[in-house]
Amino acid sequence: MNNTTNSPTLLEIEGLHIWYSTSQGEAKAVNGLDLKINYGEVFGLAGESGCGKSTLIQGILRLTKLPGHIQSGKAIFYRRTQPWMFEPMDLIKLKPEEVRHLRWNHISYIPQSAMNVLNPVTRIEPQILDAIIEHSNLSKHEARERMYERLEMVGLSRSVARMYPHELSGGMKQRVTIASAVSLTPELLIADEPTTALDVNVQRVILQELQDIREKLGLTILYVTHDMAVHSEIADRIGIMYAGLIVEVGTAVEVIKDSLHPYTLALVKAIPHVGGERQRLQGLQGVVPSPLNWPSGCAFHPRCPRVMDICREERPLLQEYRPGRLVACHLYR
Amino acid sequence: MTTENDIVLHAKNVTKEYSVPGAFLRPQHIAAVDRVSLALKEKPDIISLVGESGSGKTTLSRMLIGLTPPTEGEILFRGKNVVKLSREEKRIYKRSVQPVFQDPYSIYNPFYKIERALEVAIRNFKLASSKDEARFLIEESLSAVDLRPGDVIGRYPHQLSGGQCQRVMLARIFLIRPKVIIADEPVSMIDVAIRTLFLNILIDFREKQGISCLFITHNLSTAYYVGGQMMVLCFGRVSESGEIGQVIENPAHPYTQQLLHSIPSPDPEKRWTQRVSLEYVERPFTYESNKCVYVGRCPQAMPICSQQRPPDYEIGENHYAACFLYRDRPMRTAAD
Repeated sequence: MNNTTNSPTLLEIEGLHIWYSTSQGEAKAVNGLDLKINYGEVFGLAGESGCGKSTLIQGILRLTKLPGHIQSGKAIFYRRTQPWMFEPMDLIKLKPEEVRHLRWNHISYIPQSAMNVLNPVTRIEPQILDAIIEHSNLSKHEARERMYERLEMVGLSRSVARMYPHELSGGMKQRVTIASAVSLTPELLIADEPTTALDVNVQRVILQELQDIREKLGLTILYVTHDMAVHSEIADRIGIMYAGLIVEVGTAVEVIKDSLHPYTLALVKAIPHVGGERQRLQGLQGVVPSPLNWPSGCAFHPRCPRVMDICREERPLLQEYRPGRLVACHLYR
Repeated sequence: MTTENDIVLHAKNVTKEYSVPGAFLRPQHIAAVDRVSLALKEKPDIISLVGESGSGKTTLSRMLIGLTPPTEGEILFRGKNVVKLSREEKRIYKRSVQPVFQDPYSIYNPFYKIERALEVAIRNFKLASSKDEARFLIEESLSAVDLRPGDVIGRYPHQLSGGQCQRVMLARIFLIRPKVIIADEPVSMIDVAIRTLFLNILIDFREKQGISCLFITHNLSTAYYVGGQMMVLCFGRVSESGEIGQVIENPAHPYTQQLLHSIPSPDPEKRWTQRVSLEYVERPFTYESNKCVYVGRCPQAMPICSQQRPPDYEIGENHYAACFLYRDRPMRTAAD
């Protein structure tokens, strides 16, 4: 575990608004979000369904589909141009061709249920080669060598390339997906619930694999999952997302063992423990609000056990409470 | 006169075999469930059936609900084989053994408002004699599962969260008052913070309503939270069973030990330090009937493990493991 709080910035998002136009008005799925991801870290993004994390990721990758649109905001990405030179660029302002070049080369993505993304009637090799060749200038020969190198890096033998997806287990398919996603050594890998569909034993291996390639390739990983136990196991820093906003940021130890925001506390308390005294947990009352109609003031106030009058009126800003420790909550003004 | 120890639902040495194409197109027989016994007694309890995908837990649950017959062995409801029940007995069986499924939205017809599931149950089981009484029962059952009737009645399934839909399922259970709930991965598709509410209801059902639950999950932590008994299924066979606190504290079978090691630590200062290899974790289990099903992956495999199927050995009170490491202990008898 590294304390990457002071590492150089890789991606800085400011005031991002991504809305969906519906007949009932604008659904503000991402509602003025601020987020900073640092070079070389595993940044865990935690939040339940409905918090906007998928919309956020699609926004970063410029994959937002209508009726979704990026309303405003910046996403400054420090693209590597030389081994030690990084050039800032605003992802939101890029043209489609520029974004296409960025994907796979600089920012890569493992979607939810990635292993189901593999074409079942084609062998593994052409699927990976196609992706490499499309996004780079490598020759077919060079692409194949790169593919073998990456397969071996994730602990798979070269012979996997000749197989069909159905001949591979869930864990192997996921490793193929990871190998493919890092084939062009991107700076940032975004993984969206990569182990949700896998058994707990296989999950452990996949998490280990991700950490390995992070070391070997100098990757930064944005790991998205609602499972706080997984964050506890692999994240360097954690960001908690609720109602389209980041409400707390800190190192994994800080966020889990010294939670500030009441929502974070509820998520942490919901991490089941095995062994030891069995206590009845409270869970979280109420439901996730709708982006069509976020509650006034702090969006969490209807469910907050420590709500105050000001919480209903004024939205708390994400502010630095201690160095590196951000929280959006009136309790900490 | 029924007593606490009378068995309500009993899977007696059941096997479910399937044929799959093997070498040279000769069909190979695979046992999805391989001589498993499970008993749910009068005394309300929660039994967690823990296993990975492919362990046979869903197949076993389908046999217990009567959706598919076993290839060998019997499923008994109050002592009678479920395939031989009269129409009236079958009606009682269906009412007494109720399922809860994994996907919160799959059960509901999306064209109907959600309370229809409750209205239909009231009608089918003749629970109310007037519309007012039905309405009262619906509101009571929703409150029992911590839902405000006003938040839920009149809404369609897609307008509610997964957690709410799953709780409406439990409201239906509250109305019907079965003896046993068969819940197959009921919380794996709902958010972690909401899971606790659902699990608390299951625990309350046992304590206050006297409803037992067969809780099927791959997640040991949720099984530990609900408490009760635990059975670990490993490729169709029960590898270990006992009171859950005991099994977790003293896991006897190497497979149980591995499952425990793979649980991510909730303490970020106590992370995994050992490396595991995928080949080790995913090496295919063997299907042959005269071997231990875990012998291909067991770090402590001995020659005898490849020669016989291990019987259940007694580890502690009511705690058994099917593992030759304990062959000096007493074997489980039919009376246990």
